[in-house]
Amino acid sequence: MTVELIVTNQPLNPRVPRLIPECNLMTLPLTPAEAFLLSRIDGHQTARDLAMMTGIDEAMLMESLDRLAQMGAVTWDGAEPAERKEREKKSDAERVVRSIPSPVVEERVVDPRPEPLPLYDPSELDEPCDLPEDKRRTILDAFYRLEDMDYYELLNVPSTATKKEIKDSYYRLVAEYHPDQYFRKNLGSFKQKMETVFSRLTQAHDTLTRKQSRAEYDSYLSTVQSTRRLEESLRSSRATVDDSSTGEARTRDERVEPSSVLGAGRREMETAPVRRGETEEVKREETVLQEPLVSGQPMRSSARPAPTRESMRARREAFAARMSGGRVSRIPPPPTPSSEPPARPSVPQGVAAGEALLRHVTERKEAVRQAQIDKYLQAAKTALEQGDFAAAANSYRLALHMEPDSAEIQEAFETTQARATVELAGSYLQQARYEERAERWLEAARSYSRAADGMLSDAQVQSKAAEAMWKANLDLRKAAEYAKRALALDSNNPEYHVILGKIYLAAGLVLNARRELELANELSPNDATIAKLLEAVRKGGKA
Amino acid sequence: MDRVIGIDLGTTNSCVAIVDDGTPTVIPNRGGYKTTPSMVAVTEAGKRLVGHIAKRQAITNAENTVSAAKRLIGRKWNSSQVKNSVLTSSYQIVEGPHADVRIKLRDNSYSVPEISAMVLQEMRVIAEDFLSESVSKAVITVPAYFNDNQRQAVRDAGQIAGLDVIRIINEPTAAALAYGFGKNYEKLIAVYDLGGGTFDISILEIGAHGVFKVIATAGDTFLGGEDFDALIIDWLVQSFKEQHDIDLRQDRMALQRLKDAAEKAKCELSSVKETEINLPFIISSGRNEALHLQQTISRQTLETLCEDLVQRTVEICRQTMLDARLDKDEIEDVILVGGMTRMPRVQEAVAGFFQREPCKGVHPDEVVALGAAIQGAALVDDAHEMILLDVTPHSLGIMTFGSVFEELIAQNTTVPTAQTKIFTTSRDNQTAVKILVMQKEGQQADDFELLGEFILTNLRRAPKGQVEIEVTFEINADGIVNVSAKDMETGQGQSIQVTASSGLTKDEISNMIESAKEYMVERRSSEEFEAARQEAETLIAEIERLFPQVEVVVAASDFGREAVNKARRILKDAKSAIESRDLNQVKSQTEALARTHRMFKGVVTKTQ
Repeated sequence: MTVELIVTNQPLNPRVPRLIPECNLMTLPLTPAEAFLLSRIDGHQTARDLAMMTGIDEAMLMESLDRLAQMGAVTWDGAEPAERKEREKKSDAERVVRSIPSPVVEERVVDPRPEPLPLYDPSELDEPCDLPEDKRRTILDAFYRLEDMDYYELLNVPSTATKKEIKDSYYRLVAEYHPDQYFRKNLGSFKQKMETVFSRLTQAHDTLTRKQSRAEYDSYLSTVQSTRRLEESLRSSRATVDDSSTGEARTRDERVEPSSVLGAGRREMETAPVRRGETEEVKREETVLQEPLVSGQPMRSSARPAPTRESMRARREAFAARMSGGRVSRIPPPPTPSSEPPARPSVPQGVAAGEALLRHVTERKEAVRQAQIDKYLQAAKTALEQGDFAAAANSYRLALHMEPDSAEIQEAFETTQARATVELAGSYLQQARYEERAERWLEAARSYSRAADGMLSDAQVQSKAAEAMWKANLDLRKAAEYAKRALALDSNNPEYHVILGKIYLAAGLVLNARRELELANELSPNDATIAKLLEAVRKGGKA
Repeated sequence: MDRVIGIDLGTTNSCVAIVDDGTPTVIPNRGGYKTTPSMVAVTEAGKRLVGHIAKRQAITNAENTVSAAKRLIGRKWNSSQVKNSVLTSSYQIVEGPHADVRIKLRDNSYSVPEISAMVLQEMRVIAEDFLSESVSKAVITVPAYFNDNQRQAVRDAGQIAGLDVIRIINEPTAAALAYGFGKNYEKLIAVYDLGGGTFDISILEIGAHGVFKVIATAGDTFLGGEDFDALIIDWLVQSFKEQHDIDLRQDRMALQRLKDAAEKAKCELSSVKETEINLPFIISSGRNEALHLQQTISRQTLETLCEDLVQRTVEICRQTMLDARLDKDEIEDVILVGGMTRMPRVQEAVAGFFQREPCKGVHPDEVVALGAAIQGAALVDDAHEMILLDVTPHSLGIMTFGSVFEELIAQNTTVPTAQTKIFTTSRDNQTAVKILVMQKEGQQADDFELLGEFILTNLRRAPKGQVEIEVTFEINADGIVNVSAKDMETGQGQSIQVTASSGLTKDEISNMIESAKEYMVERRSSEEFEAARQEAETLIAEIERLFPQVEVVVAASDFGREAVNKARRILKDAKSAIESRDLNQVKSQTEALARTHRMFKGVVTKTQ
């Protein structure tokens, strides 16, 4: 039923195939490829995930899944728990926020994901004006995504684009967003939105077409990039720590009952739906490791990187190697394809053959696992050599995930993780300073607060975060918290008292403000500004 | 669809164009000229003259003939440029009620936008006559370096002339539009525009998809052909004084003749090496003997006299290239606009600076109007094949405590644009701030023009520096500036649309619109009367020619005599109708005349 629908309409649909537990695999006439595929089906990976993971061609994969479904080995996961749906929706929304806004230019859309959720209230489309509806949609899409796009994304050019390409794209886009296109038409609130998009486009163009400003911008971008990357890897490591108990349980489970690995794995997954996100995370990080970011290249972080021809080939080869029972050495697999044609295993028949196959698969799996761990450790080492703590921590995390009992890896992971945290905060601090110089208070406040969260023992950074949040007119409560933290670290700094005082004032807490200013005044009795401020507050308090 | 005319309102000459079936065309005036002098005069009889006819009578009516009014438009009475003009112009410049400038002609004083409106109205009539349809929409050009008050004054002038000014665009930009229109260029160009009163330099990029993007622009609104003329006049006056010890400046009529002669000599020296200035009977000496001015001037002399002016333009070019962060060799073409660029020395200087021969493909006097018409057509046409991205020529900001100018929008920022900055109070317990919206005019620190002001009140009482005010400047595609200020704590805000001031109040403008309308009605009806009068007079002359013959033939009968008497009566009535300037009377008498004429003709042919 559903199967057909999926196969005919959306071969790449990210629906989830699920094993049917009652089915006795031994009785089925499976090909090795199908058996391997079966071993990967966990009830959480989507067909697309499976294709990525196994390296099997999507069409072929769908064909196999279709056949397996006909044999009664798998079913399509239709009714999902409501809670998970909710979660997926959320992660979808997150993706939208940071994804490349393709509405600006259609050609870019290669992503088969369902339409990203709009970031605007659809009722905004209903405003009466002379613009056609698709134009309104385009404008709203662009307008509400402005903040999430870097200049390259905004102009829809790669970061390696030449000046000519940048100009060309700019001219095409401004011709669309300049309000003169609808001269003396009623544009309602869209006019201002168009003007905002237009002036941002112009800003992007002007920045990127001048050598010096482009270089400055690129270096800022790469700071942002690395910050983001650091953060992401830290976030996922945190997730690992939280999850480690279940992770261990699962791994042990697998080892105890190798023959029932499929079933056990499945059950396990069902009881711990949280894992799904995690598995995905692992995979994404893998991709990052294999395709290191070019410096300055904006990271299309959340959009899953489309499999390149190369990576697909590599995967397919790995798959072929596994299937052929080829020896997988402990050294990471060489990048050059093996010249030896994979030997085709004889297709085993009957129950005995099925058992043999399963054992075979399990053995291979173990070998692959070992190789994988080594590969991660190697990658971590390389990253460390390059000073990339985030990548190193990430690799250690992946290794640890596969070998949870190794104290050695655990320790390495924790040390690197700590280094990465510090680095992240430093990176944020750097970013914040650029933003502060550019008077982009909102962004500066965000970056400072992140930096402050990572550098809990640096009073100066805490107070900077407090000040920036106050300047950006953001959460005053949070601002006060930072100021208090700064004071907890160094209660004798009058500056921190003044900042806290100002925050209190802004919050309307005159008495508190007065107390802080009095303290500041005591600490620095000769500071005229503090004295004046205090005087004014005292007067204001009386009045 | 309403057609949009493009008007180049020049200092010395104006030009009107339209896009006709996709082709931009300049519309010639009744005399067949493609440009019309921007001159306005009032005759002794109170009749208004505009264009060539005003120019022709300028010498005999110097005090009541306005030329180069554009140099005064949108300026304040106490500005140095106005003071300068008061000294040199042949007509009377007086102070207006709002510290603005008025021009006195006969018994009336006119605001500068009104004078410009007369020129615009003339351009409109030229277009209407040519197209045989009424025209109400226009794109008008202004020098790129005009400030907002000057632009507003031109807008007002358009309004007074009964035009819906759909856009004001910069002259060099318009020239670039005409240069690049329909040619699919992709190049970087410089437009050097030296006109009668102003100098502009603009660097533009003509890009794909019909986009024209201005990169940088600068200029001097008081540097043009008039200044070249003034130097020649000075030279002539000086040498006359040495010869006769008489200051020709004392005599307004002599001055006007000098002005004409200087302009003519300057133009001639663009093609010949030497020319003679010959003004007989220019003035009478104390002993009542007439004196003549006779002087030979060479191109060499002119170039020496004007070298400083030429160098000033080159200096502005240099600065603009710096601002645009461009090298000279990146410029792919240089366009010369404005009559002054015909001067060989100017061409040489431009070629020398940009290290390339300027483009010869555009007509320096017509290209700006053509560009304006192109922009007008592009705006109202739904195809929108062309888009113009212009910049703000001056930086905008607010005046803060201690007369410090805080810039919000930088010079050469592409519009539309918006910028925000945060300011704090400067005094303790300050509860109100006055936001002074300023435009920075030149390089000097005190060169500011006030565009508007408003007061943000109800601020929290606090020590100075504590209350934060967010000020936002916006310039939209129409070039309108919006300024808003917000108290960051209370979120309370106020905003104004900065309507730069031309020096006229709304009421004044609407009165002027009314009287301009009345004038047009009067003018149109007087034109109609003139046509009727001519017809009637032709018939009268014809009838009177035939009269003796007819009288002889019909004298025999009573009926004949009566008919002759009736004809006499009709002639008399027609003449008196013409005398009384009564259009309807003239029209009805014309019919009677025509009948009589037919009858007379019949009688004469029968007898022959």
